[in-house]
This record gives sequence, C-alpha cells and structure tokens, in this order.
Amino acid sequence: MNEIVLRARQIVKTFHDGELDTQVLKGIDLEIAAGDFLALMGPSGSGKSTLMAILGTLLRPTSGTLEVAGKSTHEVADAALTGFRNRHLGFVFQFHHLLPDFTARENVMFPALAHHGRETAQARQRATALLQRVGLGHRLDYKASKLSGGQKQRVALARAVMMKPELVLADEPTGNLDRETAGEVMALLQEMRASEGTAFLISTHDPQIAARCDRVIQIVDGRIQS
Amino acid sequence: MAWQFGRDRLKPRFEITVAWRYLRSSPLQTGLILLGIVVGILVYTFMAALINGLAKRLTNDVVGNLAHITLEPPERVPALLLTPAEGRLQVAVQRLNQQRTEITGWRQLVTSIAQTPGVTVAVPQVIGNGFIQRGEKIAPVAITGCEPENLSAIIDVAAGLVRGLATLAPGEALIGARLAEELGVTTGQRLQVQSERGRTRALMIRGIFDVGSASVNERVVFVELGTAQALMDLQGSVTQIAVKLRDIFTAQQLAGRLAGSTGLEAKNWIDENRRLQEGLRSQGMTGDLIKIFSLMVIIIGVASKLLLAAVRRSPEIGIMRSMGVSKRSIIFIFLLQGWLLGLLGSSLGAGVGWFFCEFLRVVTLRPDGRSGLPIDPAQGEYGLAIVLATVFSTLAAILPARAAAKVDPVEVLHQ
Repeated sequence: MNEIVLRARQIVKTFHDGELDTQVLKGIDLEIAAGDFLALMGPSGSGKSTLMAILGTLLRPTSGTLEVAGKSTHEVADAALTGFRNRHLGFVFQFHHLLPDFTARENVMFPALAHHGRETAQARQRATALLQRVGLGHRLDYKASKLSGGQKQRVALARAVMMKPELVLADEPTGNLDRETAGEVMALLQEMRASEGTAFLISTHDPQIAARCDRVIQIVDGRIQS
Repeated sequence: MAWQFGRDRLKPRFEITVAWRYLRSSPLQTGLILLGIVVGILVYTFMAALINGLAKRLTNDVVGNLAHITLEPPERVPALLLTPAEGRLQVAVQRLNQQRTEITGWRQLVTSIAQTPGVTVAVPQVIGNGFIQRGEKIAPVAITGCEPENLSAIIDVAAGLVRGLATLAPGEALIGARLAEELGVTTGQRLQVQSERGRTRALMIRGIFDVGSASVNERVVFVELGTAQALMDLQGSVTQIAVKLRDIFTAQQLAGRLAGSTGLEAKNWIDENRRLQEGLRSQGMTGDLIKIFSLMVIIIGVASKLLLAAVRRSPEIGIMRSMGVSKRSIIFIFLLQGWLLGLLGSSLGAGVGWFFCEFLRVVTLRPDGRSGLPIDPAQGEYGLAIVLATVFSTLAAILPARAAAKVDPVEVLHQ
C-alpha cells in the first residue's frame, strides 16, 4: 500500500452563531494515500466544503486530529501552518482565483516565489514545463486576466502542483466549465496524478466527474457514508 | 531536508515584487493618489517657504536696523538696608535720572566682547537726544556717535546711501532722507545741532541715507564719535556698546553671557521685540495647521485607496494565504504600498513644490531685487515633508493592511 499522505480522525466541526450551534461535521475519519484519485460527493450543506477547508488546514476542526504528510497539524499555530501548506498542499478552486496582474507563468511560479522570496531559474523552468504540459506553452507571458475560463483553470491546476505537494484539494474544479473543457481538465488532473504521484481529492456534484475517480467518498449530513 | 513547523520569516523581495505589481496594475488609481500626495506636499512646501520666508523677511527688516545686543551701564538702584521686622515692608525705588550713565573703560570691553564666540562686531556708541533748528522748523533727532569705520556696522548706512558719501569726519553728519526732506536740506549744507546737554555744533551734511526704516530715516543723525562726545559732554566715554551676532537667535543666551563678563546691562533684540516674536509664533502656528491638514489629506487618500484595494483584492489575498503567504507578508505588502506611495508622491511633490515656489519668487520679483511675495524657496522644508509624508503614508496603510490580513481564505474562496 502507498504511503498515507493524509489521516483525519474523528473530525468534528461546529459553527457558533449567537446561541445557535450547528454541527456541520460529525466525526469524519479519512485516509488518503499517495497517488489516490478520489471524489468527494454530497448534497449541498452536507459539509463537503467545510471538510475540504479543514483538510487543507485553512479551517480548524472543533475536535479531532489531522495529519498531513506525516505531520500532525492540529496543535500548530496558524503562522507555522502557512508555510506548511505551501510545501505540502495544493488547491484548485471552482473560480480558479488567479492573480490577475501576474502572467500565467508568474501565477504558476507564485508558490515558489512565496517560498523562496524570489524567482529562481529552477522555478521558472518548472512553471514553463507545467504550462506546456497543460497545453499553455504559447500563453506563458499572458496576463491571467486575458485568459479564457478553461485556460485559467489549467493555470490554476499547474499552480496547485508547482511545489510537488503530497495532496491537491480540488473544490468543484470543473463546476464553472462546459462539459468538454471539464473533461479536458479532468484528463489533466489524472495525468498530473500519474506523472507527479500527487494524491487528488476532488469535491464535485457531477456524477460523471466522480465516475472518473478511483473511489467516491459520499458525505451526508456531516458523516461519511461510503 | 524535512520540513519543520516554524514561524514564517518575511522575504522582502517577494513582498516588494507583489506591492510594486499591485501599484502598477491600477495606474489610474495609483496616479490619482500620487497626484493627491503631490498636491498635499505642494501645499506643505509652499506654506513652509512662505511662512519661513515671511518670518525671515520680517526679522531681517526689524533686526537689520538694530543692534542684536546693546550693553549699557546698569541702572543704579540704592541698596535696601531695611529688613521687614514683622509684616510687610513697602519700598518705592526712585531711578537716579540725574546721574549720567556712561562707560569709561570701553576700549578694553569692546575688544573682549568682539572676541566672544558668536559676536561679529562690537561698536562703541554715544547716543543722545537733541534737535536741529533750521529757520522756523525744529526737528527732534537722535544723535548717534560712532567711529567712522563702524558707521555701517549696525545699520547698513552705506547700502542705503542716496546722496553724498558714507564717511564721517569731525564736524560732519549723515542724516536720513526724510529728515533732509523735512528740513529742506541736502549734502554740503550746514546744520545747527543742539544736544540735550545744551551744547551746539554746526555740522556739514556729508551724506543722506534711506535704510528702509521710517523712524531711522526721520530721526537718526550719525556723527563721528568725538563730535558726539563733545555734544553730550562726555570726556572720552561712550553710552553703550552695540553688538551684532552671527546667529540672531542666540541673542538671549549671549546677552546673559556678556552681561556676566562685562558687568554691563545687556538688552537683546528678542526681548525688546516681544510683539514681533508673538506675531511670528502665531503665524508659524497657522502655517503648521495648514501643513497638518495637508498631511491629513495624504493620510486619508492613501488609507482609502489601500482599503479599497484590500476589499477588491480579497479573493487574491485568500488564494495567497492558501498558497502559503503569511499574514505578516500580507501586512507587509500593504505597508510597502503605503511607503512606496508616500515616498514617490512626496519626492515628486517636493520637486514640484520647489519649482512652484521658485516660479512665484521670480515672477513677483521687484526692481529692487526683492520678491513681491515674501517666499523663500530654500526654506520649503522639502526633506521634512518627504519624511513626514512617507512615514504617515506608511502608517495610513496599517488599517488596510490589518483588514487584508484578516481576510478569511475559506470565506472568500467560496464566494
């Protein structure tokens, strides 16, 4: 069996709003191994996005433990987690959220720029190669704001794997794309998994997208069903 | 190398790159805020050049015709021999007006005063009142006797000479243009001068001057020291020693020192011109208020531009946070933007301010070489304006920086 890159134990998340407590996650256990290609499905309000945010260390669980890349994250300060995220986790969002004032290549390089504090030849080389692999070799120096929706999502995908993270969390990565472009993006995700050995957890509403994954994790009412 | 949890350090090159890119990416907004800073600094430097220039001109106009320190014999006050046995004792001291106040050993004193650091010249003078009668006209005058070589040391008579020569010999006098006009006399003519001591001398008018001060032009008659001594019944002594200083604002301090070293009573121009000082002070305060307002405009401008940027860029900030950019980095990026805006805008503003002040000075220049506006471009406080604007712009970025650092990536990334 492949090395475990993420281990979540009894993750509970409760949101407090005045006197009202809403328990969104009710004891999630989850393990993801290197190279896994998993879909996370569930109806709206089931806790998918909350779980993705907790697994991405962007949100703290109310209780439970989380290990990413063999490191326990639940007792670590936010400031230290920031650097950890840079090195071990990648993100792809529905609305890609590129930096519009930076070029496609600069967007891909951005995590390396944040890590090293400057542009390195190595980072530039890898960003160029990644953009070529996602079919954007001819758009390297295009401003992100000038790219089409599908192109932006491909740049976001290249950016997510730039630092060779153990796990990429993709939150509705095809939710804003037409079917053909969504298919292309999924193919690219699979190609990245194969070439980089990165594990992917893809949150989706689309059964066809889920069908292209190795395994589907169903979340219903804050609990994993399968 | 295995990654370990630790506190993220700032990477200035990264933050500078992002801050600079952010400023460049919205040229219209950045240009407008820079323009605002330029105008703010223009107002600041203009006010500084104007207020400081005006203060300098007023001070020079007043002090130009004055001794900075005047040393006179101390008033003789009778010693109080009584002590209050009980209760209070009321004593009235009457000034000894009937006694002459004169300085006898003045040569030695003048030498020692002139050698005091900060003193540029020490001039022995005989000052006394008198009047000139010409026909039916009688004009009261202030007789000022000095050594010929010191004629222009206190009041620059030579520079203000309108007729004749700025030299003095026994039996000669220099009078003001107004007095000459009043008496209807000119150079080469003779005047009968009678002093308060009742001595009379016929003096030949050697020169006529206009030093820009009505009271001097109307009242002062310069005569050679020996002539003045004869008019005032002084046997080789003088009535005061007038002193000019290198830095006029050290007058109070140096007056104290000279009084101590000479035993004379020292009056300084600052204490003698309290109203001028008060006027300059309130004028300065008005200028300071305007300068503070111009800095406040800069602060508000920078803060609002960056607050807007923090809101508009919140999704980008969210994605940066998810990619490993720390809160401290986000704060630093916004502070850097404030710093850059302040530094660029104020440097530009200082340059524009100098040109504006110089332009005003030149276009209002009068034939006498004085500017119509009392503006002094050299006193625009450009360096201080740049430092203050840069510091305050950076401080103005604190609020937006904190707002940006508080962006919750989870919230904005799902919007």
